[in-house]
Amino acid sequence: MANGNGTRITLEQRRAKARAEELANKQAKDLAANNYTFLDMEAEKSNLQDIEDYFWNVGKNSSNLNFPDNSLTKSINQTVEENKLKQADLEARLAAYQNPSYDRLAQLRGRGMSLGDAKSYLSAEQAAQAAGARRQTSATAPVPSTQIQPSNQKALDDAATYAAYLAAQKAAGPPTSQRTPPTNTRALGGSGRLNTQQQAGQTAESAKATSATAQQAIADAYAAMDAAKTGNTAANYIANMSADDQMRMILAQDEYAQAAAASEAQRLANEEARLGQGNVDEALLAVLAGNYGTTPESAATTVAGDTAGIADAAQAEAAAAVADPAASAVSPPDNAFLSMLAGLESDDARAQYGFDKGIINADVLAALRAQEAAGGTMNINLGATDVDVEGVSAGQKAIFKWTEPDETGKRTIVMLSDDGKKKKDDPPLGVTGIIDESEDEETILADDDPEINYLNDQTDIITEAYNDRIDAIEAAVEDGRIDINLAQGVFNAAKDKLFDDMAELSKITYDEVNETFSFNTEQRATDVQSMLDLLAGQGVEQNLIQDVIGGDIGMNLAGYGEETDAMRDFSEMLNIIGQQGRGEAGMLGNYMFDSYRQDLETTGRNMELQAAMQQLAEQQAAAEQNLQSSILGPYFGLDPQTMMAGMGAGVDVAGVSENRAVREQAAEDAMAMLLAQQQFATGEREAGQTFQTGERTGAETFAGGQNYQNNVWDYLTDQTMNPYQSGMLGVAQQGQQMDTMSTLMDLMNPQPTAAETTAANAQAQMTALDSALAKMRAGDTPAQAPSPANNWMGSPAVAAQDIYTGEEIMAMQGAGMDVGQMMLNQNTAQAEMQNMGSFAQAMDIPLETLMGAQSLGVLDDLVEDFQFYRMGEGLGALPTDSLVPFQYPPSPENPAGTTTMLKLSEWMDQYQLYYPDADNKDFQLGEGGPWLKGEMDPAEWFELGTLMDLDAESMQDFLRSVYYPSLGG
Amino acid sequence: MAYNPLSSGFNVQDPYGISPSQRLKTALNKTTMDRRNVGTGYDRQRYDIGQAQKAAVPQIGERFISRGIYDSGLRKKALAQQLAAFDRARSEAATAQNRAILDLALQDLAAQGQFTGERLQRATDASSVRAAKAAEIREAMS
Repeated sequence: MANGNGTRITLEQRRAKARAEELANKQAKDLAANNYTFLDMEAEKSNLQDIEDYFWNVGKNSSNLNFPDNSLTKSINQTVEENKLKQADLEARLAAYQNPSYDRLAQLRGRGMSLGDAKSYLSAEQAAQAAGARRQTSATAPVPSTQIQPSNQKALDDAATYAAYLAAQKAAGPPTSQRTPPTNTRALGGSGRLNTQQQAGQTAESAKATSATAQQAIADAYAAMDAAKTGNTAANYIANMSADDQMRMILAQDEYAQAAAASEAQRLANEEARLGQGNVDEALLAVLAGNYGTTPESAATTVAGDTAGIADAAQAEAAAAVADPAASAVSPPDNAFLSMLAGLESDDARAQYGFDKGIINADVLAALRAQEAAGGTMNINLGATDVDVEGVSAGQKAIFKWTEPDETGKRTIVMLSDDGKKKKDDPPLGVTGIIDESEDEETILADDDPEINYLNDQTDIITEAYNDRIDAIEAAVEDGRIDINLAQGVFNAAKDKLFDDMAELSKITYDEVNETFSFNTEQRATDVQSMLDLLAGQGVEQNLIQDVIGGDIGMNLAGYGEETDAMRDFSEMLNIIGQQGRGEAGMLGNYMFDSYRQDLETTGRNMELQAAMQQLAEQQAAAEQNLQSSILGPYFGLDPQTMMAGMGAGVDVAGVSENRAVREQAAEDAMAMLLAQQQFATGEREAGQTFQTGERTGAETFAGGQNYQNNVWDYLTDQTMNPYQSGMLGVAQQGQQMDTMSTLMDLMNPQPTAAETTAANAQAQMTALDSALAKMRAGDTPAQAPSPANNWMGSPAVAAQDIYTGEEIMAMQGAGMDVGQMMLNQNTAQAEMQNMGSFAQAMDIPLETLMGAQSLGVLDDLVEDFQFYRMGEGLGALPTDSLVPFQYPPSPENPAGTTTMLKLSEWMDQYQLYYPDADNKDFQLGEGGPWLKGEMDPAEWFELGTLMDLDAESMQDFLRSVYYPSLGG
Repeated sequence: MAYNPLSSGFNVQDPYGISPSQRLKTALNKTTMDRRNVGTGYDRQRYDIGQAQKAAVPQIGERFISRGIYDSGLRKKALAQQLAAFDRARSEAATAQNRAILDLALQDLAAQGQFTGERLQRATDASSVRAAKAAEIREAMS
């Protein structure tokens, strides 16, 4: 297009594209997994941060700051996934800590075993140590017993139930959140791990991997149960269940979690690969077309062919589908992205989502909505209307198509024009005037119209200038973004270094604690053993030790072990929590630097808007000039193009042209006058000559005649102009010269037109007027304190000069204000206000109350009341505690409100208590009162008060209620 | 705004703790000393318990000999109970030492966290100032 309209990608579009590219992968994945969490938000926001991390950690030795394009996205996603797994690991460890698996004391208690059964403690502790649950602790051998307690049988059942639950859960695959775990899993330490399991993947690989794990878990659980039954003792049960079976279960869980994490990573990679190929777009296209069946994944195939149970589940699912074909037909497959789309409330919402994601453009969105508005359903494969080709219906033609991938590899759906061609893009913001809607550069205006050509040229210049401005703005914004990114990189590098150091220090601390604890634990075991040896050496039998005092030793050992483990784990958890601060600090950095980016982009957007508005104004001016010149040109007999050029350049072509005509006419007139004078002179001279000849002849005849010189002088005199004629000619010549000079000056140095000067003056006057009005609104208070010298006694003009500048006074006068009268009124009002303020102070009542009384015409009554209440019987005889009426405002306890007499000393306290905001309220005359609601005006209120025969006391309350309407009463 | 380190954890009024790292080192040295003292105290306590136990065993034997019931289950039970009481004392002493060690570790962690936090605050301030200034300068230059 000649003027470049429509071919440019604006910053807004570029930014939207970049955003879409950045967010599409991430959000689609997380939204699809229905798993958009706080962590994801961090990961999403930290993409730039991760770039910096990558740079600082990997590329810091490189002098080139640029990344290889193909490795950037990969490294970012890798870092994000690693962070997620790391974070998930930390959370799992915290959850395990909060739901410990080794707290056998509590477990025994929970199973109804007596606290006094200390022997069990000893056995449990010894068994735990033997099984390695207690770290680095030697132990005595477990003592066999011959019975299994009923309460322990319950624990065995719990273990079996939990193992079966685990197996079923893993066999069926995710989502695990939809299954209800057995209620006893928490006691067995399972629920903390389940959160990790909930992040399990959804692919067939995941199901296969977890299936193997599940089989192993089942086998482990049954092996543990068999071992427990074989041992058939409480001690063996605890040993096997707590230390062996449960550890195995935990290991199985760990294995499962790792498999799930791996499959999740694989799933994300697959998802990413599909996103890269635009399959989500295809899928969206399919959904928009109302076709849910062409999606790549199927729920049944993800688990098929794995185990019998899974196959059964698939069959059951298939049977359900057959039983309810309608549901099967409309339900989207188990693709989370499509599920999300299908879960939106309407086609309109889906189309809006596609538009928000940048998959369809505004035209397509509008066309889809038009389809729905026409009574149909949104179908992206069909046109909105039937196409009639030479009288034959061609059916609904496709009106949408996919674009070729842009530089980012992203494809979008755009609209086709009616003839099947791609519709031209919308012009950028602010580009108006002649918009070429045709495909092949055809303009709707004649090419040979010089006026229009000039307008096109003008529009080109304006558009070019606009584009240049946008380029500059974009460059500034981009540079600013780079700077901010670098600053964030520095911040993140410092943050990571600090947290690395902190982690190292914390590890040293933790290791030291752990070493000390381990040493003490070994020492404890050695002490116990040596003590038992001592007892044995003293002839104390083993069964006595176990039966009588074993409980004490067991309690000592168990207590020490539990407490030590608790302390050790607590310190480790603190270490973990401290390291989680790394992510928090990173998020803070993101918030901080994103705010800078947002500020920068907002500034850029505002500048773009200004540029667009400027372009709009310029184009409007050009179009108006075009219109005016096309009308005025013929009137002045000028070429409209020339005239328009003059308008654009600020040259008054018409005026210049008119002046030139005037000058030519003046020259012609002067010449005509000169010629006439010459003609006249010639005639006169000839007449004179005739006369002179006659005279001379006569003189010669009569007096002897004039001499020759006189005759020559007369001749010369007659041949020239008189002084007036000569002067007029000179003026005309000078005027012509001056006009020429003026025209040249105008051409060289265009002056503002009269209209522009007038507008500038009006603007200046308006600014001054605004300033003056602002001062009025501010309360027309002069800078210095009011004093009689410059307010009461001084002239209003002096006071006005104190307040307003000369420009402001002139502006106010120009606007028709009577500044003198206004100043006078203002001074009077100030003086009255001061007087009233002093009066109010003397009466000890709020100034606004006094002013309100004056405006209502009840000032006299108020003063009388004042004298009655405050002065007592005689002027100046102030009673210490006279009774004053006080109205309690309505309250829930006292809906009607009451009026009582209070002592003056108590009145103010009650007033401040029940009307807490009264003294703080800024008084504005007319503010708040009931009349503002349009119900009654102040005069009507007063009339009403008179009709109600209000007494003076009530009038005071009435006034208060008027001025503090929010307080009721 | 110019970068002001005094607003970020530096204290010129404390020559032993002007910088966060000085304060961290001071705190760690203090806990190291306390940790050694705790260890010494625990060793002493354990030694005393061991000495008392050594003395108690023959004393119990003597008391039962004097009553002529040395070879009885009562002596064995008393002996075992006595030793169990010593074991309880040892267990409590060990737990107390562990608890003291943990407290010191917590002090260490707190000092490390404070140090990291102060340094992070400084990095934040400097970086945010840099980001703000960079954008302004770019804008002014363009």
